[in-house]
Amino acid sequence: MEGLPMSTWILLFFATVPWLLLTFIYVQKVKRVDRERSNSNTDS
Amino acid sequence: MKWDSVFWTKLLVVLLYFGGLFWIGVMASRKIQDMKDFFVAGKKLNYWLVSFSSRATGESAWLLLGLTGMGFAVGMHALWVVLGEVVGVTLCWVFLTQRFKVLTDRYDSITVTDYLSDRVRDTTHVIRILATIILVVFVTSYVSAQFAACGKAFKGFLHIPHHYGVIFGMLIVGFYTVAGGFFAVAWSDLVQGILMLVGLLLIPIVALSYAGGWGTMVNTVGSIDPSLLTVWGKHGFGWAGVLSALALAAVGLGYLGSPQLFVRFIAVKSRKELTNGTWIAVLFTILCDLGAVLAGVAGRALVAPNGALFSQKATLLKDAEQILPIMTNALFPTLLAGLFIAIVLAAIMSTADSLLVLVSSAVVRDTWQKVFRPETSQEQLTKLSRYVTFTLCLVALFPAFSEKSMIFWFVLFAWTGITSAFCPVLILSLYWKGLTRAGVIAGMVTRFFL
Repeated sequence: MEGLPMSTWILLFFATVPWLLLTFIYVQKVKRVDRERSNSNTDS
Repeated sequence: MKWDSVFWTKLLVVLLYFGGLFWIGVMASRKIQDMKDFFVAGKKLNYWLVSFSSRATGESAWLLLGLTGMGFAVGMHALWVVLGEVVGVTLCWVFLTQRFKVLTDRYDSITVTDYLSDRVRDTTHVIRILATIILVVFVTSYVSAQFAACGKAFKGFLHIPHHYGVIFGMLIVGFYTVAGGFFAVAWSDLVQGILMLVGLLLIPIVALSYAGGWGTMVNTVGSIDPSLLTVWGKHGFGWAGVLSALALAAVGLGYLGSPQLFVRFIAVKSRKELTNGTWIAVLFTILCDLGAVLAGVAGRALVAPNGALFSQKATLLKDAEQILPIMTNALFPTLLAGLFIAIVLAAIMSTADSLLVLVSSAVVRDTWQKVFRPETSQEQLTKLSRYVTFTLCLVALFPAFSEKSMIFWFVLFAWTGITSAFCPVLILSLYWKGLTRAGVIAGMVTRFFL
């Protein structure tokens, strides 16, 4: 991308990407745990 | 005030928006059976309502007028606010909301104070009374600031005198909040959140196209002042620049425990709803905040010679917070400019309604029912909740008539007071088993007086 200094792009990156990644990992983990919990409830 | 077709078109859009809110108030009022319905919508909200409502409440008119103005005034340095807000919202939804929901369901809490009180087994009611005092002091001034912002918006966009705008704002918010309680607050917040999102996606795109596209806009802004494109702003990389960046990013800390936001996590149907809501809350914050900053920066390019807003340069350099009204009036057709008035009012009202219900719940549930009159019937409590909400509207109304610029200071006073009193104890209550009643009281008192 043109124009902006590298430090601005880095700030833009840190303001968005890691937090989207954290959200993705968290949502997947919670859904997996909930699925396992509901499976074990069904089994028992 | 010019009574021309432009004025009437804008007024019509605003009246349609008010009509929508009125309708939400009427529909929601049919769902109110008891106090639990009035304060937490019977704990029946889905993730769309909770996530949009929490974001619309967390972002007041400051996002639309303040952050766009900051983008205009300091350029890319305003991205630190985006970082702070995105971090605050993500950490809140990832680490706090689900634990909080599980515990509030276990204690059958209706308010945040209910939860804190039961969490540390406070049978003396000191925490309840203390929290009520803190909320009444800070939140009433916060509501007042929102009513004053209504007056400012009416004056800025439609040239209607300030005090009429304050009264219109109070009457509409007062009506649907008193009638429909938290149901009306959540549904109106959803509508208001969608309006804010659409507006903040649209305006930077249009502003960028007027500025000649991304590359031209960046070159133009860089030629005005190269520091507008750097993250450290005019301070440069040094103590002043770093401290300024930290101060801007610290805005996001308030999301980690503000009761006006956390009451939504009590009102959600189940813990599982919050998992899906996390995506919406984080994406909403990223898109809206980036949109606001980019709109402001693009606005700076538009005041360059030959830019679409060059004639407004002097006004904007004096008061950068006028960038959004000026941009919408100049770049959009009248109907859409009218929609932007509704969007600014939406940001104001979505904050004011939630604050009113919050203080009302502190007075009625935490103090009246729990401390003084536990035997009061549900019907009487619901009536009392409505009376208290309306009285708070009136109390908040009078300071708002002042046209002096009190909005920034009232919001700063209230936001700092609420977050410093509640956030640390709320976080500790979720993660530290050793938290005691004395610790909660000491924490809240110390931070209230500091």
